[in-house]
Amino acid sequence: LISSSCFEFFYIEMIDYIMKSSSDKTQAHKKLDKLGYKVGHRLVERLSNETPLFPELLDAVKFICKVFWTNIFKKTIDGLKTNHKGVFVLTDSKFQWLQHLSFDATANNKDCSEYVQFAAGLIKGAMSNFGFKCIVSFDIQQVSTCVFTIKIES
Amino acid sequence: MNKKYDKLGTDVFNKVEKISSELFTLTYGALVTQLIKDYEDIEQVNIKLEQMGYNIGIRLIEEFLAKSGIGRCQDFIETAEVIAKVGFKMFLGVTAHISDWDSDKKEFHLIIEDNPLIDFVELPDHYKHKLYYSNILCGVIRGALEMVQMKVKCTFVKCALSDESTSEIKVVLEEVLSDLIPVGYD
Repeated sequence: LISSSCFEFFYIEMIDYIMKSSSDKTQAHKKLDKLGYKVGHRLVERLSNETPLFPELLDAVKFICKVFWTNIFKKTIDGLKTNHKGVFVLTDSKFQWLQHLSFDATANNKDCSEYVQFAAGLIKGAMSNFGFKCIVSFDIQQVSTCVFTIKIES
Repeated sequence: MNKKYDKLGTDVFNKVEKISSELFTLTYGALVTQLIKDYEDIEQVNIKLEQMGYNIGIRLIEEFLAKSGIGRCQDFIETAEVIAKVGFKMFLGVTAHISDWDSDKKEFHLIIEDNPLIDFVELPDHYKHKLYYSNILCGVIRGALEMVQMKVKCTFVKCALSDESTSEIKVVLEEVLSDLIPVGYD
């Protein structure tokens, strides 16, 4: 175990580096997505010792909502919806990595998506380890609610 | 003195929010890989990691002082103990120990037996003795101490990934900065 703030101090610094070392926002997001993918892929491997090797799609998503999310954020996903056609909507209504951002109402740049992109990559990497290729998009709502949409590619 | 800080370190660590270290270890590894990709020169990677650590250190000290309740240290010996027993414990969940003091008591080695950053990491041979994988720790110590008026230099003398031993950081006190308000500061 380590302290949560230890990871968060590091996380902020990592995002800062990626933003500064990229030519534009699109490239930065791509890099964060890739980093997340790698980490998610490997993290699942360490967490899923007791789950079957090739779970059903719904079981894989549930694993992410519960075990995976708890390992990272100490809480589960708050809401899971699906259209039963390969689209899953995961809502975290208190997304940890947005909790400590200070909000400046006068700032021009209110975008904090770079603090979420890595998490989208994590989900994608985790799903791929279970054998599901998918696209993960996200939407930041209100102060710290994050909605992730997983779309399975067939 | 030893015992007192051992206990304080444990108490503070019990108080803080914790997560499992895997996410941190894996993410750190992914970042180091990214840096190696971005910079051709490994020495530049070491420098960048140290800089990132420095930026973390100058921010982290505030939380450290607030949560540990530690006041001004009497001397550098006490500072060293506090870093090893309270600082490392509070953030990384492990303690370090101190050895190799020089006669002036301005230089010591910090020995980290259980560095969570290097869990499940193996360095390829051509990076051994070149890449200081955990160099971010040197930066954190430098940044944090600078905020409490101590200018230090930290370098890895041994790295568990290259030397098959424990990790060892040399910390040298270069200057105690005065408390005076900097020139030009209103």
